[in-house]
Amino acid sequence: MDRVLTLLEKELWEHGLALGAVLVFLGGIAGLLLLGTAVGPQTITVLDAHASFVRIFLPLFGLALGHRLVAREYGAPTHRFLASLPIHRWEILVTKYALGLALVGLAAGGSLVITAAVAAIREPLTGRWISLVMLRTEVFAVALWSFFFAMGLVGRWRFPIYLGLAIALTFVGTSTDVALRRFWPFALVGDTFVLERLTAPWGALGGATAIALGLFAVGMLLGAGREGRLQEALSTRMTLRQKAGVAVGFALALVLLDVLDLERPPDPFAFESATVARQGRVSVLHEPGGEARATALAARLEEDLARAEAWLDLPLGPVFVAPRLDLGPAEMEHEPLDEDEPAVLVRAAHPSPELEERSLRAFALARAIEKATEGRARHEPRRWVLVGLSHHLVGADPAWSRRAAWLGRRRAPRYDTLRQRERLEERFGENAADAWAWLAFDALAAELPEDELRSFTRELLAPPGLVLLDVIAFRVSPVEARLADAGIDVASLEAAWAARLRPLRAEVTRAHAEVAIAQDGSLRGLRAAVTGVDGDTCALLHAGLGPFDVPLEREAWSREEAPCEALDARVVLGRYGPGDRVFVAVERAALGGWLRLAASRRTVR
Amino acid sequence: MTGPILEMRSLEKRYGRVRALEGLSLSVAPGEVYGFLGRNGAGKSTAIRILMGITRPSGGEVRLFGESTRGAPVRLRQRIGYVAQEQAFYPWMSARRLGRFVGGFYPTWDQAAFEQLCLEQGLPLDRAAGGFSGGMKMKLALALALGHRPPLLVLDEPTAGLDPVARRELLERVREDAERTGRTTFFSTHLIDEVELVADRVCIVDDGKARYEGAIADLSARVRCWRGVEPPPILLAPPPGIRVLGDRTFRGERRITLEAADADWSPLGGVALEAMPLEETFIEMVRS
Repeated sequence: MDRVLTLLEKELWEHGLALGAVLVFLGGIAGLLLLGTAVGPQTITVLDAHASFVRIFLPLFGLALGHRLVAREYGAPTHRFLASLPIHRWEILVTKYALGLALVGLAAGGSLVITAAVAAIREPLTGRWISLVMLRTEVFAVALWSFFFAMGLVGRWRFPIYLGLAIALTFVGTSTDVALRRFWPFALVGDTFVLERLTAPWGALGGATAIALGLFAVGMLLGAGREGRLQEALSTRMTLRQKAGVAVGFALALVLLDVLDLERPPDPFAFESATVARQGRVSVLHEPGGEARATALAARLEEDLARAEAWLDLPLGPVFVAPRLDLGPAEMEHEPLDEDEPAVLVRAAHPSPELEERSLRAFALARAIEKATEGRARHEPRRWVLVGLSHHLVGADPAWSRRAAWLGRRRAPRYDTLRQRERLEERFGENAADAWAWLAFDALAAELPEDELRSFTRELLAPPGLVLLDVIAFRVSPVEARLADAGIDVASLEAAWAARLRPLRAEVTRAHAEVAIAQDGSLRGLRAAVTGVDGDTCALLHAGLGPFDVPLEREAWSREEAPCEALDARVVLGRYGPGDRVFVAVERAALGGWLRLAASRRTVR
Repeated sequence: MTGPILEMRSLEKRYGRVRALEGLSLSVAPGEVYGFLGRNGAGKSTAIRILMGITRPSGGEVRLFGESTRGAPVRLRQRIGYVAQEQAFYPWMSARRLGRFVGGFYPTWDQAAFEQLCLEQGLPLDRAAGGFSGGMKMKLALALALGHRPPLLVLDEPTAGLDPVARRELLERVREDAERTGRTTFFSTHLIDEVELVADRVCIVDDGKARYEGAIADLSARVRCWRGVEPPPILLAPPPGIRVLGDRTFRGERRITLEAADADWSPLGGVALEAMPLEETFIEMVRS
């Protein structure tokens, strides 16, 4: 016994300071976790902090402990000195194992005691509940420490093993359906870790204990095998050849995993919720009770897809519609799925009675055509044809006429405005730009026989062909070439378009907005003013353009909404400084969506 | 104790196909300083590791203090002071702390005596051992080995890597300790002059086997050489009891080395033979 105590004393002298520092650090981490969990709005129980500690920081502690207590001893010549003393080899190993186990168990148990003490202030904890969590925690700690103990005795191979395990577990977790949290010992600290109050997971406890015993036995065999010479051989440094071998091995493994991952067909996108209305290839997610509306929407969208397929002679993929109630009636959102995924996912406020259902259908149809043409239909010169056809196939909505008319007060119906879609969208907003394209396409549809129109759209909205042909076609501007082929010159299209626009203009109210950059002392401020509007909501949009002045993504904007008459009181002060390039715009909630009254890119002086 | 304090009986050790020891037998009497002499790789350290219970023998037996080492190595090891070939102390420990640490493994440890030994050898007690020179480390190892007053001191090539002065000091201390305390000392080396300086008896080991075991004086008497140009025919075909260890010609001179099992050279008649230095004897024995 004296021998073991002497060895324990030596370990504490050697590692006490470092382990004490790690324990203090872990205590700090546990405190922060506890604080974050205690004040977190999503917290179910404060014991969640303990769960996070055990899942993330306890393994790190075990890793550090395995390195210091075991690997370092056997990696240094001091183990020969130890072996020359009158003590059994197994006594050395068991002492180190027991000390590590005590420390890991102490850290894990300490975390639970502190967390439970805080949780008890406002949660009805029971002795059985805490005992169950403690049992799971300690058995997991035993398994964890047994693993790091065994790894410490693997010597120079432990880091390749750690890395290999990390890669393998990541691969299993991300590329397969295997849920690691269902397996021992992970099952002990899985989803129900701190939530299970009544039943002990005896299977997982037994399995984890068996794994711990197995790992302990492996450690003992490695440490005592061939009279310690096996361990001594393992603990020497890697040769250059071994390092190169390990590096090549990992590179090959990663390549293999990549190949396996590529060969594995991705699971098709699907809604997991039970409340889904399905019609053909259309799935609409809905709230309980909204099935009838969702089914009707799905049926109409399926019809739209079938019509578009027949029109374009192009197979279209599945469409998924998910609700997002904070979007406006004419606001749609497209969520990009995996590149290989044939489906598209759109979001809209679809259970809302104000929702412009035709706009949603046209939007979803356009995204499906885009996907089927591998994004080709979205290119700027063809975009108006895509938008126009999808709206045309869905059928006109009065809101579109009004938006087109609103835009018509600011821009003449010129073909250039269709070709420069991004500029038009930046200036007037997406809804207005879509309506503008629809009206132009509608004028074209009236001018052309249906067969000609069908042929025109089929050629433009087709999947990409040979790259060389594409380049040549792009050079000769295929849209205009096809218009000419169909006997329509740009001037006559513009005339027909203007004729459709003229009677609509009277419906539009006048509103005017201005944006300015004002100086307030040493600070610069963005300011906007709207006139001719009363009672509507307006929004000031702004974004820094960065060094390249690139087209803007919607996610980059800052948006501040206010009653239109009060918008001039909103000054964005100090956000941008001299020399900054900014995008600033004013929008008004009107005609079922947001209309952009003013927009410009400015340099702050 | 009247019987041998240490005995190795037909000791064998195999590492796979390599035979490190092949039936090594020797016997060390109480109170004697025993030299265990052999070339590098002859099997000395393997035999000592078996003696210390660090390695198990593949065959044969080691008996310490009249007991087999099988089954109770710790209890027996607590009666041995051991100085390893390389010193791998915890570098952060001072001599004093090392003494306390090592003392925890020996029931008879005397910390005061250990510290006294350190001071006598000029070792600082409170400096980390990691900063000690090779000679200081060896002195510390010797103090640690003697701190529990063991009846048997085992030294595994203790002078390897030491400068001549440190080497001589260590050997003198070992000899002086043996004379003063009557402690049995088992001393392995590959340097014949060390054996000459401290040992009473010697075992020459080569290829895992004992080539000679006995007193050093007897060894000198057993081996003789003849030098000349034309050797007498009897030397080329010696009578029973005498064998040729070596027959070499160097710079035109022929030298024949002979060994007489009982140091009885009378069968050779009046052939003039020369006594050889111990080092030459050792070299011829292991070369043969």
